[in-house]
Amino acid sequence: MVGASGMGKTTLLKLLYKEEIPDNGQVLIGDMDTARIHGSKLRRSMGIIFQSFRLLEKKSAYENIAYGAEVLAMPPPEVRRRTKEILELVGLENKSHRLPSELSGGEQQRVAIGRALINEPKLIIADEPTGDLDPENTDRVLGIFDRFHKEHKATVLFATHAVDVVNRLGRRVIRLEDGKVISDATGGYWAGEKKESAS
Amino acid sequence: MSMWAIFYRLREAREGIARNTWASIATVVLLTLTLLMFGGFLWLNANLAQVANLLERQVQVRVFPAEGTPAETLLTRVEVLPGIRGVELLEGESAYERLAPVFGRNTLMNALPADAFSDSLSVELLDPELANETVELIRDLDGVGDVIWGQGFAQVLYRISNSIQKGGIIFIIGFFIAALLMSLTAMQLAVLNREVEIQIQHWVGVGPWGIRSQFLIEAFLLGLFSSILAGASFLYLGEVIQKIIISLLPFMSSQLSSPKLVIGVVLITGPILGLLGGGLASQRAIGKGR
Repeated sequence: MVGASGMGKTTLLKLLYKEEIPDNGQVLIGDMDTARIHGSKLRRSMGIIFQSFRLLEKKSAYENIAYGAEVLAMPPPEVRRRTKEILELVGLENKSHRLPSELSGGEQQRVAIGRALINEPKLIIADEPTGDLDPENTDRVLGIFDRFHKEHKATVLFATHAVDVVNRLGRRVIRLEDGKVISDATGGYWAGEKKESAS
Repeated sequence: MSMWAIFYRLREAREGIARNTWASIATVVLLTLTLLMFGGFLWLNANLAQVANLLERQVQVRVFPAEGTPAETLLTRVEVLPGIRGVELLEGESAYERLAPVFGRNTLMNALPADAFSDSLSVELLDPELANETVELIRDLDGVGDVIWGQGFAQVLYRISNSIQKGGIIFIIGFFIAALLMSLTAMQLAVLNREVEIQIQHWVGVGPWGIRSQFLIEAFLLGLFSSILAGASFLYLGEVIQKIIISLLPFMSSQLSSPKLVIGVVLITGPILGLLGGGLASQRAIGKGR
């Protein structure tokens, strides 16, 4: 999902995970009307990721990822199994005992992604997840999403205004302007904000 | 809530208490003091009421005939009054006989006039609670000189008991509000310290009550810990106070109420007080994690 800042990307994402309630109309995820389901139950089927990592400073990478499952009362053996898998997926198995302050920005974002993925969500909502990352870490993050999508058949909804990221993915691109969808194309190419306004 | 949820929440609560060490200690100290005051007030009040009740139930009415009225004549008038169980004639001579072994017959004969101990009546009442009315009836009889009975002391004790009850309630309410505010402040600090955790829980789908439960458990633990401390202190202090009372009023040795019931009340009150503070403070957490 692309669009310039202030065009409504974040608001649309918030409507999806029920952080915001629509004044009118419906929010459907598949056949499910989100108005008919409690926000917390809805979010249990989602993995939500932001530009800011929001990690627990006094917990290690392992504990930060495990926390996402523990708060949903997952039995400890299952938490251990999944955390190990996720650490491998995000490429931090060798840094699992490090605190967030001992990790780079890209690594911290991968921990945050791991925490969002540990409950095996069917829908991943990522709001500018690569906004603060360099090209190398951006590639890594995109690789994680791609692998998770393939292995778990999960939908990844990714909001960004980074042209190169969108074009590298070559996936469905939904363009927002003033809160409205102005184009929706699979395998689409986005020329970026400046070129668009010029055209 | 599942077993694992409780396990994780307890772990979070323990970590939370450790994180807010000083606020937690202050809360526990204030809650403990409040509970001690509360328990002491309950126990004191129960015992004062018991002493007053005991004195009233053991009330003995002594009737002295007026000059010129034989005690036997007065006895026949008193025993027919309503509310009287029985009347016994106590001869002045018998009082003299009872005192003689203690002070010596010669001493008494030299010290007291011959008619120092007049005859009197010992009256047993049917219902000690109606003592006032019955005594008034006796006083109205012809030939009654004086009526002495022990309700005056019992009434003083009742008045003290009532004052303590009223003053104590105000005092306890004040302490409760202070303890509640302390518990509320500690839990609000806990909520502030855990803003990130609350956000994460919100994102992964923990419900409002799930988020709230960790603060309630934490507050419950603080309250429970305080009530155990207060209960143990009360057990120790109760024994000391009991010994002091018995040394001052030996007849109370079999009458003092056991502090066990009060300790039970204290043990229940602590966690309730904690839960109230936790419940109010975690409204904020629910707001954040709506």
